[in-house]
Amino acid sequence: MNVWRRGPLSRNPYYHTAFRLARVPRETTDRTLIVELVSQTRQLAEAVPDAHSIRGKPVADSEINRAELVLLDPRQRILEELLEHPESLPAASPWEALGREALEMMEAGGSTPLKLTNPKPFARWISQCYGRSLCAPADAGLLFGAAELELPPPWGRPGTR
Amino acid sequence: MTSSTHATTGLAKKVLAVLEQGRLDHELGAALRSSDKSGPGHDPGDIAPYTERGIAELERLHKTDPENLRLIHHLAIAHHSRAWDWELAGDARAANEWKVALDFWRKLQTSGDFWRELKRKYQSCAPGAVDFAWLDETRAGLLEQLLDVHADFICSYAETGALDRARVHVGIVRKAMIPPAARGRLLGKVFQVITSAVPEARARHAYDSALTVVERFLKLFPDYLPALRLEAEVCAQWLAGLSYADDWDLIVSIAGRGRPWAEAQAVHNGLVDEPLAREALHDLGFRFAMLADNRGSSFLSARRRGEQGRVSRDQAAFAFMLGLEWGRLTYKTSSPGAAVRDRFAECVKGRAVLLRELAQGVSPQEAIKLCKEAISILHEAEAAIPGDAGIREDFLAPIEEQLSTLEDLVGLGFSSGGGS
Repeated sequence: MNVWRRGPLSRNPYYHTAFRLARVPRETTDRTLIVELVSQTRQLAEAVPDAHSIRGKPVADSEINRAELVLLDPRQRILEELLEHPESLPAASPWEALGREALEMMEAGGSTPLKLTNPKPFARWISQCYGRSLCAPADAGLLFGAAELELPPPWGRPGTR
Repeated sequence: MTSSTHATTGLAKKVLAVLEQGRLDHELGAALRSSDKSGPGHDPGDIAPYTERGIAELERLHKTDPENLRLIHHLAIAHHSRAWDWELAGDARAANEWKVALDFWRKLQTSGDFWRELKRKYQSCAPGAVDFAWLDETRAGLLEQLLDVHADFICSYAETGALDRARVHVGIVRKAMIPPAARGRLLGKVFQVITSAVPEARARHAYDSALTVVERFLKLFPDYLPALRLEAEVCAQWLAGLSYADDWDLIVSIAGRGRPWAEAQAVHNGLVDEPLAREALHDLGFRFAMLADNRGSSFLSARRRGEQGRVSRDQAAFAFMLGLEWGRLTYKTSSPGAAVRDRFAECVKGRAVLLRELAQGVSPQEAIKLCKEAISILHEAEAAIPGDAGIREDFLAPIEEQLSTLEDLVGLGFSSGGGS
């Protein structure tokens, strides 16, 4: 089966892939979900014919049925993927893989917390945070707790005097 | 650095890479999003097969990351889709766009990673699947399938007579880097489709229509041997129903029409291996030579005098010449004893007789030229039928004698008068 020659020559096949006809995302492989999505598409097309149209032409029920058959047949479906853009949004898998890798690294390090081997870079950051907290409004400080716990004047901030 | 620092750095790089991919995906999604659509992008219809901005963005990214298979796949789809649209719109830019798209598809075909990913996806769609032979076959035949589109465009344009547009696709198919067998299958398909009406036309004796169809194909593929053979077969079939006396003008017109294709067939490299094509060519040569010989002989035997005699000789000369040329064109690949050789020799003899007659009333110098021409073609006839002693005894020897006499006369200073 030549996926590029399923329709007439006057029809650009890239607009009429099974994914587009059935409104099923390319990344969906679960059969139950495919059937459900196709069913929704069918209902949409029946209820509001213009709601599901390709290049200004409403998609017919027969086209949706054919698309469903293609998507539910693993071989035809894979061939159909040749005509459909790869997922445009990042799939979950790279994030999952990263998460797993990070978890493995943390577990490999043991249950003891990481040692602070060089605290010097943090000293400047801590002093800056302390200075900002003195000049900030009387909201609870992120690092130093609620306002009522702060030092009173002359030690506290000018606004609270 | 410690091993844990290495690992952390590596992880950080991966995080950045994933973030970068996410950014690119987002930009691509935006670039490919149809202008008339909006929404979160979960509906595949939200993403167009291509947009001008999308292709520009993809090209830019491809330059920085030429091995990225996802980008290549995006580009293959986008360019191919745009080529299709341009083709349907009659836009001349389609010709180059098809080539660009096919280059991207070829890159995907040769990428093992791309097909491994498809296999992985197939397994996720069909858990437990172990048979991937069908996917390997798809990979092997990918370009042939893509070129099949061009074969169909050729057929479509040929049918409507838009041969210039068909030639664009002929060029694509001819230059495609595919195995010869695959190209043969594609050409065979085009030949089959374009000439599908020929058998019926032949059955109806509508030979003109049949030849028009075959020649339409030959204008696109002038060296396709099965088509050259079909042209010869249809011409021969047409000639078989014609009379040299009543249909001579038509015979001459068929000769003019079929001549370029017969010439192409006669010098075709593949003719040696195609006995049926050779047979068709010999048969066509035989029929022309036979009709010409019969017509020439009928005029020669009429023995008219005066102006009528001159006209008869001219008619005979033309007929013998036509038969001689067709015989010369076609007999060389025939086996010894083939009918076309005999007819060729007969036309040569008739032509030689006429040349000898013509030499009677002209200056010795002119007569010498005519005799030499006669001797030359008689040698050809001898070569065509090596065992025919009659050619030498009845034709060659008397003309050689006549030539010798003429040369003696010229040597003695005679410059006018009859050549006998």
